[in-house]
Amino acid sequence: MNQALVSLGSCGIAAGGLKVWETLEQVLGGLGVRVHTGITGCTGLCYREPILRLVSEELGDCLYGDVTAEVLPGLLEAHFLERRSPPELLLAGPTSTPEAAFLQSQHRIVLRNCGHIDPESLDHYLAAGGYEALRQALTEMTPEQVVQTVEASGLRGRGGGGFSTGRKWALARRSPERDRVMICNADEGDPGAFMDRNVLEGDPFSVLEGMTLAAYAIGARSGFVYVREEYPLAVQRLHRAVHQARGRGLLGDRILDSDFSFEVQIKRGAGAFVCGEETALIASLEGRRGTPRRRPPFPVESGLWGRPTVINNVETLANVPYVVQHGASSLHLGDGDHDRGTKVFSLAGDVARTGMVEVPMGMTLRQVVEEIGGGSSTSRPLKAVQIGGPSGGCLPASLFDTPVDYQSLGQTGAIMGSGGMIAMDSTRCMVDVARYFQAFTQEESCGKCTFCRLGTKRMLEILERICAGTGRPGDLEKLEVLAEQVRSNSLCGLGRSAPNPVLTTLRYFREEYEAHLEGRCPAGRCRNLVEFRIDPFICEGCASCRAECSVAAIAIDPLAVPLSIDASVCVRCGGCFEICSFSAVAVQ
Amino acid sequence: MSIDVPVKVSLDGRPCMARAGQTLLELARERGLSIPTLCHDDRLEPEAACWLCIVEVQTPGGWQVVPSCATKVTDGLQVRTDSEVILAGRRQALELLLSDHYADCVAPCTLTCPAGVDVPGYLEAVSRGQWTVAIERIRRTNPLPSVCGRVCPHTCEAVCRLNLSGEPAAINEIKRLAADQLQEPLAPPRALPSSGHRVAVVGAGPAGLSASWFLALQGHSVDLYDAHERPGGLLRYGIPAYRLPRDVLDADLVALEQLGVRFHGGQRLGRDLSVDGLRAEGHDAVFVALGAWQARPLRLDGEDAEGVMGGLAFLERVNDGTTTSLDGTVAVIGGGNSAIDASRAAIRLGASRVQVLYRRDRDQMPAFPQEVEAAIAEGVELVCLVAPVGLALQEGRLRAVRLQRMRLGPVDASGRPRPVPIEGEELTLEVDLLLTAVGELPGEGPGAWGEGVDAATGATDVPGVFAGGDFVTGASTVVEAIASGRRVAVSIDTWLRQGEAIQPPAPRISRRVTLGAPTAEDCPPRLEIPRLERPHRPAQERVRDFADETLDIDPAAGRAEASRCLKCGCSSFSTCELRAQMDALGVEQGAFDGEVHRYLPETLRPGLKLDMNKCIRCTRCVRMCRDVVGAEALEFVLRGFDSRLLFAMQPGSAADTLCTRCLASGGLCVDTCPTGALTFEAVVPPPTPERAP
Repeated sequence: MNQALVSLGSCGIAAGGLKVWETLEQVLGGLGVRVHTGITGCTGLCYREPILRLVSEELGDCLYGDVTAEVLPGLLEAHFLERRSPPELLLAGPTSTPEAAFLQSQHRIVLRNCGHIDPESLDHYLAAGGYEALRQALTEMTPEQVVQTVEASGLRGRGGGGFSTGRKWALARRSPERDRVMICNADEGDPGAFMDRNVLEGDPFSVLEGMTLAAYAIGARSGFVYVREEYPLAVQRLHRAVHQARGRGLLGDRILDSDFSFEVQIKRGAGAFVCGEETALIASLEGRRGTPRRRPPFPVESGLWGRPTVINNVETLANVPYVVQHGASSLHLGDGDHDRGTKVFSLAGDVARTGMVEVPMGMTLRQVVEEIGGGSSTSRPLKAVQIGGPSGGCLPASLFDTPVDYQSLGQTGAIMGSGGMIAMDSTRCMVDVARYFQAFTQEESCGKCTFCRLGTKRMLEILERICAGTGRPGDLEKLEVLAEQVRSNSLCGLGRSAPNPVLTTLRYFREEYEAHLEGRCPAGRCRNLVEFRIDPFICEGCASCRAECSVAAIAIDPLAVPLSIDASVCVRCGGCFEICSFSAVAVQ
Repeated sequence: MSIDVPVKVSLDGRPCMARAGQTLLELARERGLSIPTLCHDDRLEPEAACWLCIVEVQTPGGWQVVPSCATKVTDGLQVRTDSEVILAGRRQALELLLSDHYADCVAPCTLTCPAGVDVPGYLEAVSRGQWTVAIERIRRTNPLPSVCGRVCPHTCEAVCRLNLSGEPAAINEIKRLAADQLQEPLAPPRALPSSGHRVAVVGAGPAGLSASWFLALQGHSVDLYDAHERPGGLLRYGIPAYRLPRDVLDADLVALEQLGVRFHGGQRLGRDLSVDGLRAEGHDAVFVALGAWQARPLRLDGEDAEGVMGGLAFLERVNDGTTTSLDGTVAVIGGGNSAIDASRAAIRLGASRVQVLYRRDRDQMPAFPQEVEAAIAEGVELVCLVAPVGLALQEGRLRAVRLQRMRLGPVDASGRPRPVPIEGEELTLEVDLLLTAVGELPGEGPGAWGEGVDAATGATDVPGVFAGGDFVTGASTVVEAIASGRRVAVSIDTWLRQGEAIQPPAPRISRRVTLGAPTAEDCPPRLEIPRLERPHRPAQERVRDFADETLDIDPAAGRAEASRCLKCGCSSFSTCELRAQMDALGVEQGAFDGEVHRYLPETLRPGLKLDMNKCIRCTRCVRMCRDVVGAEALEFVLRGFDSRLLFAMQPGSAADTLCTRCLASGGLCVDTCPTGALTFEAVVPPPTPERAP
């Protein structure tokens, strides 16, 4: 059967996918081809959105990128009538493409349905084998067996904590209190991270099924999805999924005619980063200010309204149906030296291919950024990978062979985190990166602990002055002392991990800090510390930089070749540097 | 029902039993260990916010820092409470809190006052018309309020924050008003029971009087000696009566007498008394405060001639009644207060012409500007930029003084331009009486000019003998001498009781200027009324006598003036837990510079004031209001550095009723606030801005 499926995740919509979807039927009608149309979630190739999946007998399953409404008629005609795939649009299909590496190097468990099924249709999910795990569990397994299977699979919390999912469930089961609570943490807040959003937008049922399985395993009757208000599409698709599941007896009383009942409510968070911390999340759900409290007691002992509560992240829960259905060994992907299963990353930064990727544990950072990401997108080599978001760290190229694995990453000072991964080339200033993340954590601190509220502020101020070229002797030492104090003297993960970007950049890129104190920014980022120059031997005199310059710092004389920059006028915006086709502009 | 089994804990290496469910903070306190905390209140659930109460516990990964208020004991737990890591953490937490604490523990006026008088405290009392309360507050650190109300140079007014937006509070006039309002001298505070110690104070000037007062209050038996017949020293025999009427001085001395201080007049050290003799008579300590009476010599030939006299010696003769009139011309050399006092006294005694000769220009005169102005108004002539270079004598008597004209040169070590002679420009001034007032020196004696005297305690090389006042520092102000007397009284007291002269260290405090100079926006005026000025008798009238040169002011106008005070200090100074920790942990403000919040105080509801500058975000008030009162009137809002308190109360709501009731019965939010952020504010009608004509 011919199919035309438009990728309508937030990324696809942002790139113009809705317009493609609206005109699709009409264009197909004009061609006179009978094609089933539908939508999917994100395929992960966000940088090539809008993406259209076309399936036909002749060409099979083809994925096309950059399919705007303008190129849509031509593409449909080529694919369905001329039976050929325009190579400039083809991402994956019968012939080999550069993007094939992006998809083939991945191992998709969490994203198994993303980009394939209609996220708004329970039938699609069922057709893809959905709810098979729940049926199996309810009919063939005791709750204890579900817990044991998950524990034996080696699945660990994918939200950043990395605690054994099965063990967490077992702890909750130990509580004498029977009225337990299951919470899905969908409060994804790391800047640049969108794994959970894409899963919820692309395959909400797998998360819901995972929650239901977890509830069955721990003995919970009520569940909550705590999701960010800023994810309207995810919220909408979750609501639809809950509604449809309830209608089919997959949620609510006596699920699948068993004795097990479970109800799910969707709660929207107001976008406070700290509410991703489980005790703050609970406080927020209870209607209080989202502020962490000291553990113990852990939520599994006393959580929401004092009841035993299990909180699992979206990605963790999306793994659960797969594990239950395929058994405890289903996450044993590699040689057994590394953690089990996969990890989803939001790959961003200076790599050729950015988007959402799912890789088996143990894959090296180099493989992720080079094989999947396609290496540097600029002419400059990659210098660092920032992994783990504001709680994570910056790892230098010399550590690119570090495997993606909780322990290996932890040893470097970075963390697995929830899945942010940003590749950076030599023009990225590591002090500036640390400053950026410090500004984020400072702003998102709940303000309760002295060190997190004020210590991060004073750290940020030191970073700001180093970037501004007004750093003082002793600043690095002061920064280190403060960073250690904030790390050990904060209550929750936000404060405890807030110094990580600073500590890792100080550890691996200390010479960049020292250069700033000497008045230089080696990456040429920090405006007060750089000077732009035109290399007279490279400059061709095209004058495109002169047109770009907003302050007329480049001589007006049309005969002045090569051109030169008047440093006293230059505001160091970098416009000339970006626009020069000959790389004649240098930063010093 | 379950029975709690005690658990074994190792606390700083010592095994001890703890009750199950107990927190480490509770346990440590039971064991007598002092662990600081700012965010914990026993009436509330632990919050673990301030991180001052940190201790370390042993974990498989090593020692780990935990907040003791929120960590419960577990069996076998090893705890340590005093490692370097812990102390460093506590100090840094305090430094961070202080880095965003834009508040003054002590008002700048009080800080700058040598005697440390609680200025906002007595201004507050005056604003309510509580004159005796005001005087009591002043006398806590200054036993001569009436005297100071007349002669204090009031450096407090120069640093008054009202200067930022207009004119400073008329602090000194308010002090004088309070003293003037007393119908009869105020009885002294009750002294401590007799210590059995006897102290001799030699010199009944401001330093000696002050020391006597504080020593007597401590229960010591004080004998006060002076070479003059009556007590007061410089106050009675130096300062002219038109500036300090003698009944005003006597009023302050009544309370001293009531305290049991025995005055012995006409007793000059070296002539009638000796330190050894005083010791032999049974005095356990001797305080020598002879003042600085000796005129600094001009170093000119003929200085001893008839017609040349020290300015202070002249004033002494005027004040003791020896000199009652003058005729002829008078010249006074010098630019300080003694010179001006001498010139104004001379003009009152009938001198035909009085000239003040000063080697620099008028702007550089050390005398108080208002004194110089008054002198000029009374007919004193000011001759600036001249220096005496010779005296012309006739038959052993002064006939004229030769003067060298000067000009201002570069700034010297004193911060003033150095006077430089103009070659060849000399003039001769015929005068009948030349008074020299170019500075006063202490006379001979132990520790003259501070030699061998400990600057902090006043102790001399001789055990039990102390010295202070102008005698040690050289000529200074009355209030400096009073302060010196009090300081030395404290060290004499510790010497008598503990055998060691100790000066308690000044408490560590938070100061706005440490974090950035305040601006007019930070200190908006409370009342838009002009500064109170005291009227003076007309110059032509007042030169005829030595009676008080000033006129009275209306008490109502004084009360209004006192209401202008911004109350810059902190009313919670003595109870503030944050400040106490500064001393306990030895932490100063200023470890970090950077952004600082500057808030204006808010009146949350009548009677309840919030100063966010002083809030340390411990949220005790929020939790108290929510968990104990149930009103939830206070919220903790915003995030990160900007997080703060918010009073979110719907008027007329049930919570409003709870809040009102709680405030009426003591206000738990104010009660739990560890700093001065939440305070009660007296609900008083705004003072009337009307001035007496």
